[in-house]
Amino acid sequence: MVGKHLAKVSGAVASALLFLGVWTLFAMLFNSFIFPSPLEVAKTLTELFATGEIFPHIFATLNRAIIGFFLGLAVGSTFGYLTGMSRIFSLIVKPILELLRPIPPIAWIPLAILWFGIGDASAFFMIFIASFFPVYTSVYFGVTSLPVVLERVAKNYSLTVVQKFIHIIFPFSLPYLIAGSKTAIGIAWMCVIVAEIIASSQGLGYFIEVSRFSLEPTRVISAMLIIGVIGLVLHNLIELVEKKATSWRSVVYGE
Amino acid sequence: MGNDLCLELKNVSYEYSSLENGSKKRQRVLNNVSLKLNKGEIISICGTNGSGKSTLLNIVAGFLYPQSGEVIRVMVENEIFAVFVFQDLGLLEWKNSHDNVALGLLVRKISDEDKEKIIDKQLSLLGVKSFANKIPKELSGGQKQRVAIARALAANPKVLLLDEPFSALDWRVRETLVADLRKVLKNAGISAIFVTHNPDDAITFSDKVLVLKNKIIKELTVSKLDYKSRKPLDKNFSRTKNALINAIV
Repeated sequence: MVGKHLAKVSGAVASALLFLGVWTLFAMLFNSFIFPSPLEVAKTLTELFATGEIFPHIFATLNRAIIGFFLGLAVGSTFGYLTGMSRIFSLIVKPILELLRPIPPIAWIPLAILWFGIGDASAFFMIFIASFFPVYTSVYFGVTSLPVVLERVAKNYSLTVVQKFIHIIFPFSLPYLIAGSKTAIGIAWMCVIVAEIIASSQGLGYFIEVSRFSLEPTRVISAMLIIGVIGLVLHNLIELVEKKATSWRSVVYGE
Repeated sequence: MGNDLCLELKNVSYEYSSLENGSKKRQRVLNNVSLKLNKGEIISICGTNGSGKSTLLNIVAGFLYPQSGEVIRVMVENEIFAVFVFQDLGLLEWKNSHDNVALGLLVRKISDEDKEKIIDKQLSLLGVKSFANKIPKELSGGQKQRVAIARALAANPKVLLLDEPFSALDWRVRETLVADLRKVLKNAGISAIFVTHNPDDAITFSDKVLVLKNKIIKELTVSKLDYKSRKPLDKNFSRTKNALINAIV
């Protein structure tokens, strides 16, 4: 166990050193204005946190991403369960959703600006769209993957639709719901940045755009690093929920 | 005897249809099958693979509907008539043994206190009370079978339907489980239909063995065989087993 932990930490340290080494090499090859070194970026990052300048942007982005994600999660899972459990609902709704699903969330930006203007509402809408489809698809797939034997168990014990949902369908589909959420949070996090670059006046995306205009690549890279770290933390948080909530599964989790 | 009847199948026929080269192909697996099951009676249905044993059980459970014939279930309203113990058990992997058994009680309109008593009783009867808090992945094959049977019995069915539930177990576990289950069923007066292709299990477990062959059913009575002498080394047991094998093949 200790050996495994040590290997994991050593791997992470080696990976970080490799990343910083390659970055430094590129910074030496190019003009530092185009490609700032890790040291310069670290200095800017320290300043951003020390002055507190970055915090309103981080909170604005997180706020949009989390609210939009939970909206997408709630509506996406509801549609997933309804289409998976009701043939009539599926016949009516699924063709429309299948038509809309391949449209990249970013393609909705012009319409979002037209409908909601520049600001929070557009960003929420974008993140909602980005989260909705991965969650909807995963939940639908989970519900329709229910083994025949479990369908028969519900019939065997004369369970009502609600009892069947609570005791069988929801727990069975939970791993699918969480897998969909993991994909959704990743896409939502990407979309919130894009939405902020195009249609916002606060947030990490907006910060990147403003820094680009003022020709400050160290600030651009600093914001990018913050985005990467928060994205990783969000992903790991969902993985933690997954491990706790689906510990009954006989699977080996990837390290 | 008539008052004791709990299930009757009259001239039941069933055929599966499939598409082959664009045309619908029908395959008959049961042809005018009739059988009677009395209260507390245990019958086994034997036959080769594809002989229609599981189809027959699915018809009794109400999962399949026969194209012709009649299925008479003698029951009162709001009663669970038959409960199936599936070959792959169908235990809910996310629930512990206690909660899996509780699933069998969801539909019963009894107090929570009574439900707890029933769960406790069934887990004890099947010898898995000490595993009440374990989830299926923490149980052995035999323990899982016992939990699945406890769940089925908790629903208080008139008939227990068993589709080769012991097939994955080694002979020692199987022998104990078959004996324990027979005792539990006889004490509770629950009827059972047991589908198997293991002649030893069929003879040990049941009062009557039915053989499904060429889409029809033949009866082989084993109830005359003293239960205590139902041991593989017993002469009468061997004779009955040979007769059964001859009937199957």
